[in-house]
Amino acid sequence: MSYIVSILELGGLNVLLALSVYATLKVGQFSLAQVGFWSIGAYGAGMLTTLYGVPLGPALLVCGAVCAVIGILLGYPCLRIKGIYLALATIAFSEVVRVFFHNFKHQVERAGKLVGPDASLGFRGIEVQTAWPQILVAVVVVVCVFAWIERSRLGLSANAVREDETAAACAGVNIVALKVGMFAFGAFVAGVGGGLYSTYISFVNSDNFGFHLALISIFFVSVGGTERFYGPVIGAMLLTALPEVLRFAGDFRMVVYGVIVLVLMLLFPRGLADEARARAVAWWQARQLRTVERSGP
Amino acid sequence: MNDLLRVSKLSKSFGGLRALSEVSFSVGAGEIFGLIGPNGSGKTTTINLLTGILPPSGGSFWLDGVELSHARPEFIVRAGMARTFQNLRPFASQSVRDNVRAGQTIHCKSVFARFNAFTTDDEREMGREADALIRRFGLQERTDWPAGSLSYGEKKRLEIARALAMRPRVLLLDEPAAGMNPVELEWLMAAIREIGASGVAVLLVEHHMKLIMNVCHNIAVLNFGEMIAHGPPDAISCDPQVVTAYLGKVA
Repeated sequence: MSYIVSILELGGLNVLLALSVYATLKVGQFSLAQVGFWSIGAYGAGMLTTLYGVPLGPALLVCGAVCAVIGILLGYPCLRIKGIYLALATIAFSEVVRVFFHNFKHQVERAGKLVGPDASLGFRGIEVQTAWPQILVAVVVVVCVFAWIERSRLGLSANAVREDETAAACAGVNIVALKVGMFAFGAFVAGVGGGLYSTYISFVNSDNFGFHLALISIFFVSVGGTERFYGPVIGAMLLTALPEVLRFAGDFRMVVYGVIVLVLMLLFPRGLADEARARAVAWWQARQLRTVERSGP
Repeated sequence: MNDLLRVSKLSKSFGGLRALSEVSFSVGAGEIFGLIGPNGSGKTTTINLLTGILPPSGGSFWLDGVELSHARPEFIVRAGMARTFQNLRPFASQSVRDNVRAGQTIHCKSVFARFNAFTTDDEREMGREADALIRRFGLQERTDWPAGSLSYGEKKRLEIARALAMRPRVLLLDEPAAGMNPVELEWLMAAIREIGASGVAVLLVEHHMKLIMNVCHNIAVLNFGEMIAHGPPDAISCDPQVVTAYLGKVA
């Protein structure tokens, strides 16, 4: 039972990472900076709770807010670039953050032991304060916010920007405010998610937050779907459970995992949720046309 | 008619290429103004400048006395200028209704209304307005369809409906008749006349001479970025420069 709970906990954390990526993709920005924000949240919340005794909730909010401010500072200049250049600029940011924490040493004596980030040796002994209830609350709140955005005119404008930025601008959408706002919101979610991760796992190392994690975060969204918020949720849960289901494959587990991701992307290029939705809409359209034909002129 | 849209010496260069050279004209409320010319004469460039997609290299334009020459597209839309696109650009994965609703967003009464996910009285009113526009453009059977799955003619109608949802004072139509069959063309003529009659100034960029000659009050002709003629349809159709630009000189 506890094994399944741990998988669900990791799945919940991955949902937060995937939704932070989705926030920027929702306005058509392919950003790999989320891993950078995730690590800032992880180190930040670890230090605030373990070294300075700040309660988890405020620590997470502080980390999220700091990431949001950095998100605005990074998101605004990034408006000038798109596609592969944006991906490179944002992964460069994540690398800067990773290298910073790789060299960052700030230890404090607690109960006769030195604790805190120890440069390349990582940050050990983070006080464990997160389990499934905290993760569940965070996931539910973030999912509700995304559902809210989706239902509001903000979501309508965001979808318009993702589909066609020029047409959206000509429909009166403030592209700058929306893109920077969603970038900052994605950074906030990643900061909170990173904080939950470190206070759950109790040890973080800068090497955990490299290109590999950035790639995995994109997998979650690509496999689940990029058009509606439930796509990344499905993708993250599925890809968290998949390596566990594949344990029978032994050493070839991750090879099979890669092949399955590849096949899923080929079969469902829009992602599972969006492909299912598109097929349901096509079926409904065909049914509607048949009904019109039967009823005749 | 009082000038609602006034354009003065508007110019645009792309590197060494002069795409538009000191073009001036004005359009009054309720006037249907045609902008014609051969391919590459600067018609779409004019619309792109007027909607802020491209910054002008020179010249200015005013909407009801307010200069918008270097304003951002969203500001120009809020000032009352909406457009359609030559290459259709509906929001493909969104429903017909959401496409029209997207055009209405600028009329939300407050910024907070854009964050609201509940159905308020204002939203209900805007929903009724969107449905009326959808019916007016004959898309009521397609209300919940993704815009990408509509036929070409339906997408054209949707673009006009989305532009009208912005409640414009000036509507810029970029080749709305392209690819339309004769029945759809008749419908389009009636629709443009109706829009003009409601007091909206229409700037119509078009190659279709029947449409232009039938609906426009005034026409400007562009050739290689320069305005070579300007006047009512009868005068334009007999203008030797216009005939030469369109048909070439007799050898």
